[in-house]
Amino acid sequence: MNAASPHIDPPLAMLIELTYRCPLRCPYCSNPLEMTAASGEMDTGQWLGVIEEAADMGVLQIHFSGGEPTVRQDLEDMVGRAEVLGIYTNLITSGVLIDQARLEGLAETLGQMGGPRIGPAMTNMMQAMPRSITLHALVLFSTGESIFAP
Amino acid sequence: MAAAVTIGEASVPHLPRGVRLKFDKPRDQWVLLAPERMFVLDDIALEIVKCCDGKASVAAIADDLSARFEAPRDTVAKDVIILLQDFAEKGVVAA
Repeated sequence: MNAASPHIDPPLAMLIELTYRCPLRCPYCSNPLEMTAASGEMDTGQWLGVIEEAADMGVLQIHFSGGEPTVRQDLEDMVGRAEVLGIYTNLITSGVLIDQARLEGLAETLGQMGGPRIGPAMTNMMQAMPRSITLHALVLFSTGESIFAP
Repeated sequence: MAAAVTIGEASVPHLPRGVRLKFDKPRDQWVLLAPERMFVLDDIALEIVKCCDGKASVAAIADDLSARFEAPRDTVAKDVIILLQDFAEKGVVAA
């Protein structure tokens, strides 16, 4: 160890991989699939504790990712806690597992909702898919484009 | 993609959905939080952004800041427009 340890600033943002479960097998994705079984994942209380600690530390943004974060039925609890603590929340989801009611609930709370980095084929699919569920908030990170006008 | 916006004296700027102004207590600074990014505001940028309430026009904001900080209105208006134009192009201010 160095005698004088370097000063490290607290992190501005935290990427949370809530789960490694995912219904999709996108070729570009480099995240592991089901590295741990659902029973081995951190539970709600543990994640809420992590979020509290992050807020104390000065984290300003949390990105909820996975896997597919919406397989966690307690996602809303975590997003809600982060928002209460004043943390800006981002959700990175394919959107394929959520219905309109859940989507609208999340969209109310979230800072923003984003899709994965999407290739042309997937973009076409996404453009066709969410119209039926009135997805207002889906933003493509790769292009910065909103698919739907609010 | 946000439509190209040209900020002028008549524009009425506001923070769009998904953009939030926040005091970052641990670092003692004001930040503008947006999807996947943030901007640290200096004192001048903060005063301008605080005026972006969706009611005041750029002209009114320039009048207000010029009076409050006793600065030449032309200079203030120019600075306000440059900053808001930059933020509009980054998608964190709408008008």
